[in-house]
This record gives sequence, C-alpha cells and structure tokens, in this order.
Amino acid sequence: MTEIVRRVIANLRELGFGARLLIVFLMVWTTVVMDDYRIPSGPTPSVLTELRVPLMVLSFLLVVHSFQTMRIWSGLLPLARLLERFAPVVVLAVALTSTGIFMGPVLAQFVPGAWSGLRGRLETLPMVWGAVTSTLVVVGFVSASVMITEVLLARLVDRITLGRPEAMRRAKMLTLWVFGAYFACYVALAYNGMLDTSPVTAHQSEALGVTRRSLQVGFVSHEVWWVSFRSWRDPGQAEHIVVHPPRDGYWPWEVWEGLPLVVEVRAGMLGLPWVVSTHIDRTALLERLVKQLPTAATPRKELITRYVAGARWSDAMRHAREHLVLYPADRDFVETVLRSMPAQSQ
Amino acid sequence: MKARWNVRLLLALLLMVGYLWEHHQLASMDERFFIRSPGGMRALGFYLVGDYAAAGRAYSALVPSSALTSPPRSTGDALVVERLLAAALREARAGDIGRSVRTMHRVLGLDAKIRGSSASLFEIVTFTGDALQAPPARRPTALLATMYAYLRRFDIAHEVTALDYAREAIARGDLVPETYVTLSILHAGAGELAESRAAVDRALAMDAQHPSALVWAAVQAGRRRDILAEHRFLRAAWTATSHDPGVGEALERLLTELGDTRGLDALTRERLADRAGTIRD
Repeated sequence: MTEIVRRVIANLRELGFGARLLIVFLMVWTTVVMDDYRIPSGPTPSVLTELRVPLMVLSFLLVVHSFQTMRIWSGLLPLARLLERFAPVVVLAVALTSTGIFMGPVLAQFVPGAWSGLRGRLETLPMVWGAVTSTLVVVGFVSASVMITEVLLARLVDRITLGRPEAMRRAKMLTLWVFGAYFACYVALAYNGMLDTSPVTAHQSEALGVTRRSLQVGFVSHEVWWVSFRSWRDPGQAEHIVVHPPRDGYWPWEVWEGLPLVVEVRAGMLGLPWVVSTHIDRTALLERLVKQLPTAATPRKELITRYVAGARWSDAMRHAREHLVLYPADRDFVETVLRSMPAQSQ
Repeated sequence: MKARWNVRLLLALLLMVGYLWEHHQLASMDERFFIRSPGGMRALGFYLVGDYAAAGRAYSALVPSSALTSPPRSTGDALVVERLLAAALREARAGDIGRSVRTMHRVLGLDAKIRGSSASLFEIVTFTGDALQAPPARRPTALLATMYAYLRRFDIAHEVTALDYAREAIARGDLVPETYVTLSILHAGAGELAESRAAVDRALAMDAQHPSALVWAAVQAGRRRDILAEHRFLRAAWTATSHDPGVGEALERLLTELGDTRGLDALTRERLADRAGTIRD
C-alpha cells in the first residue's frame, strides 16, 4: 500500500502521465463546479475564472507532451525525424492536393473531349473526395499543429533549462503548485456548495445587463456570458454570475435592463452564498405589462391564473373584475376563475 | 542543425495555421460564392482579392435571372428581401442615399436567415465594388456600411469592413443617426448586445422620432422578449413612418399575441382611414 502511495506521489512530483491526466480531469471538474455552484463576483470576474482558459490549455499541452514522449513511439523515431526534415514540403503537398481536388471541375474544362473518362473523373472529384479530404486535412492539420507546438515549446524549455536540471525541477514544482492551489480553491467551493443543506432563499431582483467574454484563436472559440443583477445583500450594488441557460430558463440575449428576476440563493457550508438559479419573475413581468397595457387580455388572464395558483384571491378577483369590464363577452373565463376560488374570497 | 529543423517545423506550423485559417474563412462563406466552373473560379478569384465590381459582374453573368427583372421562386419573406434590395439599389443609383440606407435597414432588421436570391446578392457585390472605385473622400460611407452589413450575412469577413465604414461615416457626420442604427445592427449580429443597445439609444437620443431607429429598437425588443418596449417602439414607429404597412403588420401581430382586441380595433380603424385617404387622393 505504502509502495503504491509512494509511486503515486513520485508520479505527481515528476508530473508523470497519470498526474497530467488527473490534472485534465480535474480541470473539467472545476468547470462543472464553477457552473453549478455559482458564487457571485464583483464587476470584474474573479482570478479563478480568468485562470481557467490558460490552465486548461497548459494541462492539455502537458498531456500531449507525455503522450508524445511515451516509449511506445521510440520505434517511430526515424520516421518522425524524416517527417521533421521534410515537414514544410509534406504540409504544402497535402494543402495543394486538397485545393487541387476542389479545383477538379475547373481543370476538367481544359481536358480534350476525347478523354471523356478523365474529364468525368475530374468533374466528380470534389463530390467524391472533397468532403472526405477536407475533413481529413483539417483534423490532420489541427492534430499536427498541436503536436508541433508542443515539440517547439518543449525544445524551448529544454534550451532554457540546458545544464540546469534544478530549473526544470523547479518549473515542474511551480506547475504543480499553481494547479494545486487552483484545485484547492475549487475543492473549497465544491464543499461550500455540494454539501450545503441550507434552505433556498428567494430574493426579488432586477437584471442590469449581460456581458460576453469570448476568446477566439483562429477557428477555436470560447465564450462565457455573465449576467449582472441588483444585489440582494448590498442595496445599490450589483452581483455577477455566469449564465446557465438550462437552469435559469433564459438565454443571455433575452436579458434586458430591468428584467425582473427571482434569485434563489443558498447560504453555503463555508458561509459563501451561492446562486442556485436566477429565473425570470413572470408574475412581476405580467403585473408590469397589465399596468402599462390594460387592454391586453392574454397577459391579464395569465396573471389571474397565477394569482389563483398562488392563492392570491383578492388580486385575482380585482383583475377578473377589470377583465370583465373590458371584455364582457369573456364571461366563461371569469366564471371558471370564480369556481376555482374558495367561496368566502368571492 | 537542430535550430534549422526548428525553423522547418515552425514553417510547417505556419503553413498549417495559414491553411486552417483560410479554410475557416472559406467554410464560413455562403455556398453561392462557389460556382464550380472556370467562370465561377474566376469570379471567386476576383472576390477573394477584393475586386468586388469585377467579381459581382462575373458572378452575375453566371446567374441566369436578375432580381429586378424576374423575381426568384421564393417564400414571402425572401420576396420581401428581394423587393427591398431592388428598391435600395434603385434609390442609391438615383442618388437618394439616405432613403437607400433606411431601406437597407429594413432588410437588415429581418431575420438573418431570410436571404435574397443569388442574383440580388451579386448585384449588391457589384454595387459595392463600383462604390469603392470612387475616391475615398467621395464614397457613400453610410451606405457602404449597410451594404457590407448585408454581405456579412454571406461572408463573415465583411463584418470588420462594415464596422470601419460605419465609424468613418459617424466621424464624417454622414447620416449619423442612420449609421448608429447600422452600427447597432452590426453589434447585435456579433453578439455584442450592450454595444448594440447603446448605439440605437444614441440614434434615438439624436432623433427620438427616427423611423429606422424606432423600427430597429422594436425588432431588438422583440428578440429579447421585452414586450412593453416592443409595443412602445412599434407604436412610435407607426406614427414616425407615417403608417408604414410593414410596421402596421408587426404591430398587428403583437396586439394579436397580447389578445388586445381593443388595440387591434383602433389599429384597423387607422389603417382603413389611411386606405380611404389613398383612394381619395
């Protein structure tokens, strides 16, 4: 048992393949924690949020490095050297072939009519091979780009630490400490939220707006939407959380300044309140709508139904009366509402 | 030796990144730009090097019908786009740039999925190319911003140019409220909602009764399901556009959705009065 533990610790200290896979796994887990147990932040996103993308990239590169330097590939070393020597030529040839397939129908126009077989093949080239080669080339180039980037970075690190093994060891320790501190914060946040048994408290609030933070590197993009709303704890202040559409029930582009929200909050095991959900306060929204557009029957009827469901009998009665005054023909609806109310409240 | 090999790797990496970037750019372009024939490739070549006048003409020669002469077999909304584009081009060629910009706003205010025919797209490409041949100081920047905003729907690479022309038009004082609307449309397309709202607010701050700004503000409010704002802007636009039928239809749709039969009755009375006035004239 102790031998296993010792080996695990050694693997961690040396940043072995297992340790790197664990880091990637934990990075994915931190994303889940961040989305599920949202702790409101100030106007600028927290350091933890800012660190997410660079650490994710670093963890991915660490795994790629381990994968590339595995012993099973040692047999392929001569081939890798050969490929490296002619790398630009290989890339150029692949790119030109892919483009050439796309240009097949154009080339076909210059083939004499007697060679109809060749002409036909050239014309159908993009249909038969276009999609396949295009996808293969893109996948191949993306993989090769990641591998080459990693090789170049590894060589750069080797060059910097050449003759200084201590520097390499320190770099590994620093990487471990950065990831360790990052994961420790998320373990605390997960503990704060996952084991929290405190009751959910609903607070009335209003949206102040949404902001998008995006990062685009070539064709790879990453975006996160933040919603800001009036604070329930500090009047006049704003709270900011990441939008979670399936949980909150709205898309970021549906948020506007003044949108009434119900913010459901839990106290947190460590006393760090976290937001369970921020759904649209439909009743408040309908009340506003009916106040501004009194002749709008559909929202008023929905509002009455909501009042009845919430046992707000007097409000339901008041609106039912007003509806009847505006739309006397809609007696059936009002009678249905009255039937669903207790006799004393009518 | 090692250093030279690193250079080779670096070169290969650059080639691959360049290929992927170019592939991404081409993949995001509309299929209509890729006509697999020598003429199509020639047109694509002109288009990719930025010679839009030549590209538009080369493409138009390959597309049989013209939007102005024979409308395409398309749905009602696509037909509306066709008519509006034809009107915008006609107004621009007649020198009524302000009106052309406002007509383009109506096209841009429609759902981006509703697109005109290939013929009208290539006419816009040709028109844009011709407009670019004027000296920079004499270019209709506000109109170019809207043309590029339309082309952006088919090729995302035009977004930056459209934004540049919009900013230039504002700096020059060329149809400023209209250009703020264009800017708002462009920001909304890029998902920059706060910037988009700020731009339309600036247009309305300059002219609270600006028809294009009111219509676009109503479209935006409708997209974010802010019914009250949508109703308010549509009502204001109905008056500001002197009872534009398109705005009337949008208002009717909203009032029907709200079950506001009294509001609908009032709207119908206003529309009947308009029709009676037209017949009398």
